[in-house]
Amino acid sequence: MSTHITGIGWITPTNMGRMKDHSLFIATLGPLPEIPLTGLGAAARRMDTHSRLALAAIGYCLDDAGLTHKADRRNTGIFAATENACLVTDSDYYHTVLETGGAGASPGLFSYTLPSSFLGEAAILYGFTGPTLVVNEGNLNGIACLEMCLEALLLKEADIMLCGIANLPLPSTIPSEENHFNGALFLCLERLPARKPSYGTIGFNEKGNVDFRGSRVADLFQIVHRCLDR
Amino acid sequence: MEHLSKHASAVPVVVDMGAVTALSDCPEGLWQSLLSGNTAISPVSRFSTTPYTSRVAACIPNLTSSGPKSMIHDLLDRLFSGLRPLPHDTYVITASAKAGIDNLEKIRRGHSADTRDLFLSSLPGFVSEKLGLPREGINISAACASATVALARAGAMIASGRRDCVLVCCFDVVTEFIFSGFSALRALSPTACSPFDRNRSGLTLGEGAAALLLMSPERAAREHRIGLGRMLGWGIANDATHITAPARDGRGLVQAVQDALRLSGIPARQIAAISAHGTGTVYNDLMEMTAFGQVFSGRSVPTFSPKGAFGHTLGAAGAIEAVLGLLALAAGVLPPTVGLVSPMPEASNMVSTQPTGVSGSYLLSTNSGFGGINAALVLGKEGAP
Repeated sequence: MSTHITGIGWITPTNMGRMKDHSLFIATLGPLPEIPLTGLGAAARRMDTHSRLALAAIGYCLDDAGLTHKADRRNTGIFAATENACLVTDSDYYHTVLETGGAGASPGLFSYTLPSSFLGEAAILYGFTGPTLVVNEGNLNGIACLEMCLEALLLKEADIMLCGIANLPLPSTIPSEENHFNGALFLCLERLPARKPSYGTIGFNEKGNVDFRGSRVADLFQIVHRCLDR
Repeated sequence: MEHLSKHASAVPVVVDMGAVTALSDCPEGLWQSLLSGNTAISPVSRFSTTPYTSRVAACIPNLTSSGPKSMIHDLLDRLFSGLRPLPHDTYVITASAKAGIDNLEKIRRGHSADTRDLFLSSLPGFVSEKLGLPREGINISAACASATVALARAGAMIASGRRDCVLVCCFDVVTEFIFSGFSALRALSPTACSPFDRNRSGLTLGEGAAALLLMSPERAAREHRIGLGRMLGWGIANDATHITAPARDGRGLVQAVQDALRLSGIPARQIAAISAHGTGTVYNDLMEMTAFGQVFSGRSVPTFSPKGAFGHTLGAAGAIEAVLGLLALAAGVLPPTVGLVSPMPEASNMVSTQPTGVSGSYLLSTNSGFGGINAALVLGKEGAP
């Protein structure tokens, strides 16, 4: 049984949605479009922007994979990469500390001052009970997440793994020279028998690198471009 | 789920470890202090706690930030002073909840600060640079389960054959940013925390760091490294219930523990002891006991939590506790649960205010965090079958 990519979804400065609906994907920097809250549940109103971004892209990915039916609980995990994490929310939260001398610090905002907070929101919304984590990497390419997703599937830690990137622009108070991608991109990985339709097989080659459709990939963006080139 | 034990060469070996907490700068000092029932929780002097619901934390004495640099650099320097030289191809995995967030405080108050310290993505590079390693690695964020999740992924890398030498380095510091947040959530104990106590009333923050060097057995043999213990299995599972509170029925922790046991091939009845998350909050401690009761079918497994001794070290907790778990297995002794006075009914035959003799070769270590994340490790005594 091989590992396949069965769904892809994204939000970028250029466009957003499911792989099957688009012919263009550009991984770039820049302001993001307004994130649609439809389908994110009532909790979306209290979520921070980072969580909304990630959940919306996950929704597109699951829809593309045909997996948006609500199951009570399913052994699906999420490993996602980010560079800027939740620094926007950190800054917003600390403003409430300074503004009130500490006594009025916002518990609602503090709940989102972890890059992994959105994982809990996604788990609740979709019933995911599998392994979840966020990888913080400077050269934002998602490969470390992808490698760990493949390992998790090989070790049968989950039935399905979502692998992605979610990265907001930095707040103006925190300048940084390193900023590689703004937006969110998620891929759905499943262990499928060969006859099931998918975007292609993915796995480790003999050298321990990741191959998609038989050729090495260096980042998640290459996978999307190869799918668009089909 | 495949058993790692079927493939003996795939079971990661711990060959070096270090730990820095408010109790001590080294594992041996920490161990002795813990056995003596000491606590490092005391009034906070680093910032004013007047607006907050607690006055105490476990801060490392004289931990400083040098100019624009965050306190995390001083913490890492203390940690690395106790490690042996590392192989040049060591892959670095760090884990931290908030990195150098003290520098955000400096920036917002108009002081000079290095913004790189704010980025969790910078941490593997800092560690690599300090240790003379190539700049290759990642940071893992999984809230208060970050360290255990990092150890689990390191184990998976070695078990799959992708890596044979991984350093897991975990750390966090006490800052007003974090203190104010837990105060706002009403999660802080007004006095030193009391894990698994019937009168527990919240957690106490602490700061610390730990590092564990994992190798494949073949690599350890080639490097002539003596094993300090083995990581036999791991599990990570989400409650899918609430973003800050644990699931009352412990469902996520139950799944994580069961996954770790299955991966290890060790039946639950052979687990000799548990190093629990044991934060001292009403809900976490009850959730853990509920989960343990289900997994161990009501068996009273000797259990301890060290958070009454050196506080809840957030992203570092799981790594410090893994160090203690391996020391406990080696010594055949479980430390007391410092801060405990009168055990909650669900834990009455499990936790103790005294050191407890432990006979057995396997220990379960668990941690849980915001976002419903639960993680478990099965640790094995070196030399055990």
